[in-house]
Amino acid sequence: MDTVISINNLSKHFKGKPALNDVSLTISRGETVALIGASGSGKSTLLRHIAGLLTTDKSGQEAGGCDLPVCCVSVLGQTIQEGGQLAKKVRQHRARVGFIFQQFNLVNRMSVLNNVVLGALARVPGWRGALNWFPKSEQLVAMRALQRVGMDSFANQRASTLSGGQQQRVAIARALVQGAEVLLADEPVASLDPESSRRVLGTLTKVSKQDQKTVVISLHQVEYARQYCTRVIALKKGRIVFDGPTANLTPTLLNELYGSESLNVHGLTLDASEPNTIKSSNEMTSVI
Amino acid sequence: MQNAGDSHPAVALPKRDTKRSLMHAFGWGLFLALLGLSWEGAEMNPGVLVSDASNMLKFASDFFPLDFHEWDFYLAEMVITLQIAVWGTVLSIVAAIPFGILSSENIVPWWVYQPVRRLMDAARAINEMVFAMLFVVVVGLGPFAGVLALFVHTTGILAKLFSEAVEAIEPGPVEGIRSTGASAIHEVIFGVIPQVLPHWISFSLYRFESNVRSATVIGLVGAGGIGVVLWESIRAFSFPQAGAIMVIIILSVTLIDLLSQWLRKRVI
Repeated sequence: MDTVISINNLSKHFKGKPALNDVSLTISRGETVALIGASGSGKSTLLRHIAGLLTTDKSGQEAGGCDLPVCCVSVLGQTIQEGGQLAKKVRQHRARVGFIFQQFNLVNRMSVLNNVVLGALARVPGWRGALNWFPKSEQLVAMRALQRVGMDSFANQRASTLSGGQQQRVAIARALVQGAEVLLADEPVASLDPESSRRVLGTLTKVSKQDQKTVVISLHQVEYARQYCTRVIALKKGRIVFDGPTANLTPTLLNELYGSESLNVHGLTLDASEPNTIKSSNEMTSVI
Repeated sequence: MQNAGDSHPAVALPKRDTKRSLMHAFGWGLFLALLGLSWEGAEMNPGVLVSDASNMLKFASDFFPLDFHEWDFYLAEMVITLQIAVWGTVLSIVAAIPFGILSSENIVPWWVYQPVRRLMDAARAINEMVFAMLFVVVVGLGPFAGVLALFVHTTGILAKLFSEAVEAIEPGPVEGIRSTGASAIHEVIFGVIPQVLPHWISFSLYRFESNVRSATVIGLVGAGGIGVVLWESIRAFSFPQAGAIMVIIILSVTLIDLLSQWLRKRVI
């Protein structure tokens, strides 16, 4: 399997506080990876580094008395950033990486179709993009993407008039128009109700499976990770503490990740008969 | 909350922050000292208002009855004044968009926004009257000098207001556009401008109102419009005419204010 995302020795400090600590990982084509961990564990920070929305610590910066090795993040064989410097062509590379945000980040005042067609910005001539004058072929690509996420009937509506779940599906359509081979989703359902959450995650995983896309989703809810992802990477205080198939997630590990009390919050109960499996308690509590 | 039961520990108000109260008192002291010092310099003398009241009354009575004989001429000049304001404002909006973006901290690095801001400061610091006098020398007497004066001064003001709106935007939508691989220009067009547009329109309409007022004044230095006529009649001590002109100015400015307020409400 070919490597799609590779991260070497990524460290990041925010104003001297460590956010990520020497993280290295590789993700292969077609994988669906869940990134889990408590708030502040570094999930978002990690994803934002992959998309080149944040830069790592500068190389050679002292941390704890020893020089850090050079941080390097590359996606699809292209360097996104190295040693705290974004690659010169990072804007071109970003086009191949779709990013889904917790707050959707659509242009509220524009129509749904217009928002989705913006995914083509990187491949249409600059002046066309600037004038918001996209060729008909691109608009059709956008309509098709909307159809795939089940939002084509809203094409003419202003993005701000949609519900959160609908906006998130529009954001997925925008990433589809981009033709992104990698989808990074940063807490895509954290501000959605359970029904919309399932719809969004279902859409996201379905389209990416159809297109053989590689997906990394950061999630608060372990339950969703188990349901939609095949591999789980767990972060705690900026370090990877677990990386493996979803089935290997043990209660002990979750306990350590979130603290014992929070297991209930995550809608998980320990099954006495099978100590190594986790069962979901009622659906409603699975969302905080 | 219900009555706090015995199980609750006693609560106490947080301690007063002495440092903060001292700073507060110091701030007020400074402000009062400033007022006192300025009294001398401004030669404040409210007593005159009472002792010379009869003078003022006599002066005011000179304006009446108002002389509206040449009302059509006044109205034509008032229209020219409005036209000066329209062009001055539109040109300044066009210039203020790039200058506003280039003086926003969250869009460009300091070595861009610092010089651009200083340039805008200069445009703002000098009153439109002064600019009008300078432009009268350059392009001759007449409305065009007025347009240029308003253009330069208003660009300075709008660029500042525009950039303040840009600095208050949500970074999210900009990142949304950035994540598609778009260029920096596209980020501004789709990430920034849709967010600030209502504010920008509101600021521009407000500046148009102000420019209508300013345009009546810059006529005093020969930059065209109703101001010229007003200045001529005051210099000729034709107060009844001057009064009539002022009434026309007040009515027009009020009308424009109402109109632009109505427009602004519709945009936001």
